[in-house]
Amino acid sequence: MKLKIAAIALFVTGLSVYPLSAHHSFAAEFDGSKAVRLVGKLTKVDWSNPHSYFYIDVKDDKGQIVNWGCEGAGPGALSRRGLKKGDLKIGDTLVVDGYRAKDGSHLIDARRVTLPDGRNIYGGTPGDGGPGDTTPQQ
Amino acid sequence: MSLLKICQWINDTGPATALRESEIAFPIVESIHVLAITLMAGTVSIVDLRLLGIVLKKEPVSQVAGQVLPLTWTGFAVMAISGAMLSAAEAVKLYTNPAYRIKLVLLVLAGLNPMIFHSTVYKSVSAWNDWPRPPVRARVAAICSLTLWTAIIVSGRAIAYYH
Amino acid sequence: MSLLPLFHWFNNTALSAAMRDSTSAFAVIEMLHLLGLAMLGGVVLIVDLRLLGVILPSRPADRIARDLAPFLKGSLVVMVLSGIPLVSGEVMKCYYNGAFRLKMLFFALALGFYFGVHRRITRSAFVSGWAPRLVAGVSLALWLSVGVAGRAIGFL
Repeated sequence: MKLKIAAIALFVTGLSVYPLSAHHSFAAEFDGSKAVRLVGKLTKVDWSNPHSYFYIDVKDDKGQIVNWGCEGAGPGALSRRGLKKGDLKIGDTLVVDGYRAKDGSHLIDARRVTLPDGRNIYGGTPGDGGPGDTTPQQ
Repeated sequence: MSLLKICQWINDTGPATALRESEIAFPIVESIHVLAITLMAGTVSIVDLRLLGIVLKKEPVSQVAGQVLPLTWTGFAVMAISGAMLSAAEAVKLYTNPAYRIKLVLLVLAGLNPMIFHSTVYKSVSAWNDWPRPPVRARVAAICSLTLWTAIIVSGRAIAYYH
Repeated sequence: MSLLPLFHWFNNTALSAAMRDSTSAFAVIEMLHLLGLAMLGGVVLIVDLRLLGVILPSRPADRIARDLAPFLKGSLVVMVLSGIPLVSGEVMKCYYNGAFRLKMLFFALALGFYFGVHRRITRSAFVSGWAPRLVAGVSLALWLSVGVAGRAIGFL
């Protein structure tokens, strides 16, 4: 019985010091001051809950191809914003506006995605001044 | 057949895939899982608080436990079913998730605690049924229960933070 | 009356900046919000199911409600004290989020109903008739609505 209590206490303490990639707090994983626009060919789509992921090959300034991950909303929210699973085809060139991950990895929190046919889907808050936001500031 | 292969197989089944890629079903199942915490852990906490002699001291322990625990069991069924569905939908991602593994271990412990309690100290409940403050072994079981369910809720929430 | 200026002000507070910059504060505070929810829901379920006559029918409803009231109020305090920092981390997103607005509306209604009506009804020991059942039903519906709207915030 005492062993159980000790184990639980240890777990709860351990969890609090384990480095957390707190992705449900946008600001903990992504940098609100590092907006970026990526243009690249779609290589993979992870159409899933709770978050979708799009991977695009982007040419950096040295001409190297680097694969970036773009985190988006779940299928329900994307669908309501006008994007369906079939809208994306591997090889499509996408323009993605988003915020860079704080740890410097090739991951962004996608805010606006522009499809090859010109359509675009915006996931940010209107008027927040974020990447892809076109609402006049109030 | 490794555990990872089993998780991959579950992950790729039609129903699991449909849930993972769904527009409304996943939000609903996940919301049921979160809100049913009240039905399961919320209700059992009040039984635990009675065992600790903190609330409902004028109500016999057997009445509180006997009347409230069926709610807890109903809640547990809802949690188990919705939890299994969510686990199947995310089987591959969860395989490597440390918070998920810890949560499963804690769930086993949380199941053992009432089993031990009911087969030992609770058997003599008629002797201390009307005590405002039950015997120490009952209070220890209550603290274990509260601690375990708190840790399970915390580890469950932490799942989202490891990927 | 526009609440936009209020939300803009909130967005510029030190709390908001701190929550936006912190790595783990949001996670920990959200866990507290969830634990508070468990306790709040547990108390509401027990008291209202008693009023509906579903559980503990032979035990006095007024005593049960009175005894659990500190835990209801305590968990409400936890919910509010944790909720404010959570909102402060994404103020404008909440402002524009329909589910957040609904949640706040239902929360206000649930609070008003609890302090204005519910506590009056639980003053009688062995409640009978339709009034306590109606009160319990409204209470359960309001608190459930707060919870569902809260869940919807993240999915909109």
